[in-house]
Amino acid sequence: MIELHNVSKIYQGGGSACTALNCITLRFSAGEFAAIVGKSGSGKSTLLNMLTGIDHTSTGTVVINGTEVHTLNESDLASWRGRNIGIVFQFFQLIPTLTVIENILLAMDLVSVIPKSKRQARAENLLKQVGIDRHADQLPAALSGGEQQRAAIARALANDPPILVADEPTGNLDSVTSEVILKLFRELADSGKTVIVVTHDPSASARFERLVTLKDGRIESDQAKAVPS
Amino acid sequence: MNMPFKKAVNDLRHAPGRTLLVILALAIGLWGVGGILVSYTILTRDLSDNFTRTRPAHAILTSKDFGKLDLAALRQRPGIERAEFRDLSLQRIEVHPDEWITLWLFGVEDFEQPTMALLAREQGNGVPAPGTMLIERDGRLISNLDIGSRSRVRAGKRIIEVPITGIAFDPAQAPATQDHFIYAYVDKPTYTAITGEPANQRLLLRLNHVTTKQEVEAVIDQLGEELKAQGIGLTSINVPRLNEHPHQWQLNTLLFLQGSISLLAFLMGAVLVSQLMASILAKQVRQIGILKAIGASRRKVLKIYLTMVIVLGISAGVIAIPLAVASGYAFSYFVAGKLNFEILTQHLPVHLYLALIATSLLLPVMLSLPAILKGVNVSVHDALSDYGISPNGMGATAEKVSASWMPLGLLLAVRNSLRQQKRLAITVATMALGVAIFSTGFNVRASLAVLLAEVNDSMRHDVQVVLKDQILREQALPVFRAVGNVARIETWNGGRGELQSRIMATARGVGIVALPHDTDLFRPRITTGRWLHGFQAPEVVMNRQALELYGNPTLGSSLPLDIGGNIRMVKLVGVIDELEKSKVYIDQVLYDAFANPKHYINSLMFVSKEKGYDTVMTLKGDIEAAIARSDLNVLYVMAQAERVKIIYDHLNIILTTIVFLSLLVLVVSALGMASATSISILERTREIGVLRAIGATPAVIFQQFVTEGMIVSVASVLLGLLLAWPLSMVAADFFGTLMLGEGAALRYVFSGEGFAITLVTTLIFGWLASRIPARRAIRVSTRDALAYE
Repeated sequence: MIELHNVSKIYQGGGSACTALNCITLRFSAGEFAAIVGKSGSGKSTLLNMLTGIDHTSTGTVVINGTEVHTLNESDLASWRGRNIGIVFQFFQLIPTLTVIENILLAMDLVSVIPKSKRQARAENLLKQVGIDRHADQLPAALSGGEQQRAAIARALANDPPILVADEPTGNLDSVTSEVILKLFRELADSGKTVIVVTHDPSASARFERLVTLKDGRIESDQAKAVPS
Repeated sequence: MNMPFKKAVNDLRHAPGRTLLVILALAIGLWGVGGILVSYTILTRDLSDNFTRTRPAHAILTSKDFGKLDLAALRQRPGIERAEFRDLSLQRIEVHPDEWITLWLFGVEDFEQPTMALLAREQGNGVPAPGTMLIERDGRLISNLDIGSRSRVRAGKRIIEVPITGIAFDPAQAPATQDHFIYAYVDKPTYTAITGEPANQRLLLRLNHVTTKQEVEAVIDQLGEELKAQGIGLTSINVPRLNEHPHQWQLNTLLFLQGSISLLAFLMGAVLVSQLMASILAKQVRQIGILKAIGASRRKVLKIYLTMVIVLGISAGVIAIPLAVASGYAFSYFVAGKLNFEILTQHLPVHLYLALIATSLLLPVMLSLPAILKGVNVSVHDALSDYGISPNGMGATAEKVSASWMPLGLLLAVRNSLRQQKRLAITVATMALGVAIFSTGFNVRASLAVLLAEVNDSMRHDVQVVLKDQILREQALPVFRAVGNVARIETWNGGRGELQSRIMATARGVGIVALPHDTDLFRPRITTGRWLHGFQAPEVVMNRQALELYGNPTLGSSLPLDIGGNIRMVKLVGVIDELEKSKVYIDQVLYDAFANPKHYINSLMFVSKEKGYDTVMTLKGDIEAAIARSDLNVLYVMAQAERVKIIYDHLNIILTTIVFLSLLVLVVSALGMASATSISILERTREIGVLRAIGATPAVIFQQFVTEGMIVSVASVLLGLLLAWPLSMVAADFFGTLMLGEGAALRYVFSGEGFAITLVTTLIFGWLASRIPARRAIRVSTRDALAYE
């Protein structure tokens, strides 16, 4: 369960304040497949940063599976995040000096929730699951954008987190590859994981069960809908 | 291999050029520090060990009455560790055809079982057969004498041929190569046969449980009184510095120079490494964000980057430690060769290796810790938002740089240089310090050259003949009547017999030089007071060394001066600077009135008519020939040009070291600049792509970076040369004190030659330092440059 209550984020700078999020209250249930949409500057990525603890709220609370995320310090947050949330970035953000499988193993090594003896097999399975197992021993630079994004998803799943968040995961991909990635997310949601995706792509947003639309840092609409699987 | 470790290693492998640069910078810093530690360890131990292993005398007594001495009883005295006769007579020896220099001929009591002042057998016999002699090994370097050769020794009027049957090593003596003496060792009968002097007139003593020179003096004073009561009058007492080699000062200077300059080089290396590490970590900020986003705690991130730094340290250590050991030994051997001692340290102490290893590991950690902590502490959000150098990152100063006359390329270079102002400041400061030290090296060298010129200028005679015995002027002058090319001969008295500089001499009291007060042959640099005015008032002038010996009396004070047993009060009217042992100058008329009623002389100062080097050396040869035909008992004949060379030989080792180490500093600072330029290029890789995309040719980009490098070089040269001014004054002060005595300073001299060399060298280094990374920059394709993060 993800609960955001009256979350605001105000950036101070240059003598003026900019309100990126304004009194957002939201709740996501386990297994939800939700999209956060809105125009550029609407506060989507900021909201995602609040969810993942990447950034701190100015006011309000973020409670995820009983943990008050906004109260954790940097070190506790990192550890909590590793266990509970998998993050997929728009620009993949793979470690360029490690191979694809090593990127996944690194995530496991850092958090240590998966027993050491099972890490290699799990990493291989995840790569198989996202369909890039043949690229396991290649450096990220050798992969296409779609393949890199799949590697990033595999890494996000490395520690089997209950929540997966993705920031514009198809923003850098062609339409065919985007479809494949979204399908992958859908399957993960079907397997019981909460998947929250930030996107400004209208065609992508049609694939989600729930659509939270932001405008000027506020929730403009929050629609639940039935979508074909 | 665990993944965090693999990431650390792979990050280093991913940018081999930059990694190599960091390793190189670290290795140079470590090499410098390690080299110093190694040579310091070796030299401080070995010169002292060489000296003390000979069991040198704590005191040297001379007397004509030692025949009455019960040596066995003396040896049994409490407080006396060892006692042995070791006679010494100063004669002359032919080192090359018709070239004679001073011979220190030692009459050794027991070659078989010596108890002190030990000699090591180097080659041939360890015990010379009767009528033959051993020579000290360093003498071979300034003569054609060697084992098997028959030396020609001049003792008074006689020339005696003495076969050399062995080469000895006597590290307790000042090196022959610097002092231009030959040391020879013979048994007592041979000593008497050569010199005509009786043996057993010079006694060496070693005392028990003494730790200072003052303690030795106290014991010897008491012994002197007791000997006097036994009817043994001492003619001289010499208490040298306890357990200190006569050239310890040179070693101290070298170690100081090596230590201080290398420390500066090390500090520059440290700045360079910290810059490089900061740049590496700045590029890793986004990755730190990713690591944190996927669950890495601060501790784990810290571990990854510390691992990276330790890998760098180990790599640098693997390169630097063997180099440090090799160069430390090489430098030690160089110094040992110059000072004539053996390197005894075959194995360096384990703690030294541990210190080197610890330094190689801790140094990079300490230098990069601020940057690592900064990177580790950055929030995930800020880390993920980091794109390296800000596209709008120009400082306010850079924006202000605008000139319509300036070509756009130059304007861009200036603005880019000002973009990272902190780094620019560090780079310029580091390079400027290198330039300042390099330039100071030349200025100090020039100061020493001026000092040498002053030494040359202060003594205006061309050839000096010093006699062993005082004789009447009327006896001496006729000997040289037939010698041509002599404008005039001035006669002096009161000298000790041998011409020694402070840096060669052991403490043997004050030499008194009696000379005409209005002589034009001696024009020393007067630092305080004035030169002698006449002979009406009893007045003296001292050199700084004598001033120190007398406890720095004030100008105008009256001092008791003991001349030939007569104590006279004299007024100190002036102090002079000279590279000499302690000397007091007094008017000859006054001196004769005090202690020389028969007007004896012991020095003849020749002034030649024609001044060329060859002419003067011919004159010296003619004087030698005249002496050979006479009854004169001569201690030495020396041309002024040779005297200057002797002093130069003493300073040469220091001059060479100064320039070498200064160059090292400049190289390190140039490396610093190369790294700063490399960092700047790496950070602006995307900009290079943009420039190329809008039509900039590789040549234009190349020129851009070289121009930036030259801007830094020019700024560094200007600042460095400005800094060199006060630095040179401090250095001149330091070296002056070291060579001339407390309070003395070398004259600050601006070296035009040094200025030109510094300017050209720095600009060439600057050009190279920017050219190499610039070439690398233009090799990156436009596509790769644009894709670079």
